[in-house]
Amino acid sequence: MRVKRTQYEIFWEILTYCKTPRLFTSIIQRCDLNSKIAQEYLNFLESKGYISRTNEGDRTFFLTTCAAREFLDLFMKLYLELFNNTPEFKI
Amino acid sequence: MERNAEIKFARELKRFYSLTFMSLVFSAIAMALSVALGVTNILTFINQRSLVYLIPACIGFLAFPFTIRWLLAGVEIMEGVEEIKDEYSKVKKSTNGEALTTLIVRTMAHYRAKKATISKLILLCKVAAICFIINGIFVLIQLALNIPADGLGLATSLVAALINLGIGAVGLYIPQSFQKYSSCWEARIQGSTLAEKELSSLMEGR
Repeated sequence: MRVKRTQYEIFWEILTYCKTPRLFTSIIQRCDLNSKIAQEYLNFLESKGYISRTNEGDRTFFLTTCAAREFLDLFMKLYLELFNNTPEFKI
Repeated sequence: MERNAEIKFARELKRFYSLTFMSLVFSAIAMALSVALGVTNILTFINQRSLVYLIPACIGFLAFPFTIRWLLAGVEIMEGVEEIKDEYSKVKKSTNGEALTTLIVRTMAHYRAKKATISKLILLCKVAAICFIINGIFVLIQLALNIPADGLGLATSLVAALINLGIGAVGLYIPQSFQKYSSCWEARIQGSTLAEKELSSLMEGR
């Protein structure tokens, strides 16, 4: 499925997925991103302190930091409120 | 809040899946019916040279491309819905706020990606429905002008008219429901724009 998400929705997907250490290839696969875009998003999230890199041998793992909690909580609150406060789809 | 949202999400997903499935079934029936209508009437027209058979044949051949595209649009929409349904069934028993938010994000993305297809389906479905309603009315007019002497002939004509009108009615009902789905998700997409502003200011503050 070709997905159309906003950058914040992509941040959400990356950050929730990286709650356990993940490899770059797993991130691009799970979040349905190409490598160039994924790299840009990861660099941005790293610059904000939301994600950290750790090297284990020749492999690099990405891990969501505690600082991202604020973003994740706000995102979840906003989206759940948004979903709850809009009329329900009925046939 | 999470529990209510989960119940609402499950209900909406089930309804949208049923609607897409119903659309697929009826588009397939409409496609078969349009071919049958076109072919049988054109053959009778060739044999009897009567314009009475040419009109339904034309309606059948006119409706056919719309029914095919209606079916294909339904298949395209179904593809994404099934993925979301599968994802939901994986987390169903242990749904938390995070999993539910991810599902909402996925459904929103699916709607954005399929928005044009849904609009196309709404239009195609209406055109096909109008063709079947016209044919149903045509069969009834024919029946009123020339009532068959035998009961079987009368029953066959009545059934044919009812099938056409029935498919036409469903064909008008399906786009209405897709329209309701679109307005629900449009409202959510508009709301997400406001949410983005809050998220943006949070990130800028860092």
